[in-house]
Amino acid sequence: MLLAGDIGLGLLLTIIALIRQRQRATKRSGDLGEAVTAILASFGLAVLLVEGLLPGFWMIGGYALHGGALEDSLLPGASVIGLLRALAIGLVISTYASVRAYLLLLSTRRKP
Amino acid sequence: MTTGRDELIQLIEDLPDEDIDKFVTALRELSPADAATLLRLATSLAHEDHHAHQVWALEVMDDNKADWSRRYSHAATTPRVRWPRLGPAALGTAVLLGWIVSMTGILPLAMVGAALGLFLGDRLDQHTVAAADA
Repeated sequence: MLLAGDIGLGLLLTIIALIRQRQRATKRSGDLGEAVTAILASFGLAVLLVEGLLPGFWMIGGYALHGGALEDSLLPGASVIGLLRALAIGLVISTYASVRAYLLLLSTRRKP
Repeated sequence: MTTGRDELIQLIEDLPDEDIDKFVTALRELSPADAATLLRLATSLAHEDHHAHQVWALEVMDDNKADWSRRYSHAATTPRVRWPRLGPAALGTAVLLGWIVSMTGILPLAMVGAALGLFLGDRLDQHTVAAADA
């Protein structure tokens, strides 16, 4: 069920991204890397939304409304291990982005 | 025909209006060689950090014209400290690779896969940017 959502949303986002790239194409673009980037970014976002955000918010909402065990608030088709996967990946990316932003802050030259 | 000066102006078009006018005035007084040096430096900076690019543009405007060319000629050919981008390919690859690797059932591998995905995706982002500017 969730896998079908991953693929469907991934395809939709990829098509939108490729159409936008084609509309904005210049003589300098058209590189294969741009198409691969569109596919990776689209399917990455789709997986994050379908496998992480949706079941995560579902669980948070269900637990806030009904309480009880966390497992009782799972989205049908989702699993705790799946949420932990999304959490692990999200933590790595968030940490990386935060560290990068901090290092950028330290290395940016400012006018005296 | 687009010149290096035109591209420099394009690169900093989001500077405040008064700064753009000042910078354009400074560009018009440059020699072709100095303009080429500026273009190389501005292009490399714009790919790394737009804020730093703007700060640099302001510095150029205030520099002594006899002095900045020598200093920035060196800077334009010297590799700068560059923190990896967090571009679309980096994010997408991190999520996908982390997700695929975690299907082995070993959860910590998801974190390793995500980190590896960030690295590999960043390489692709760099390639894409370089190809677009070639």
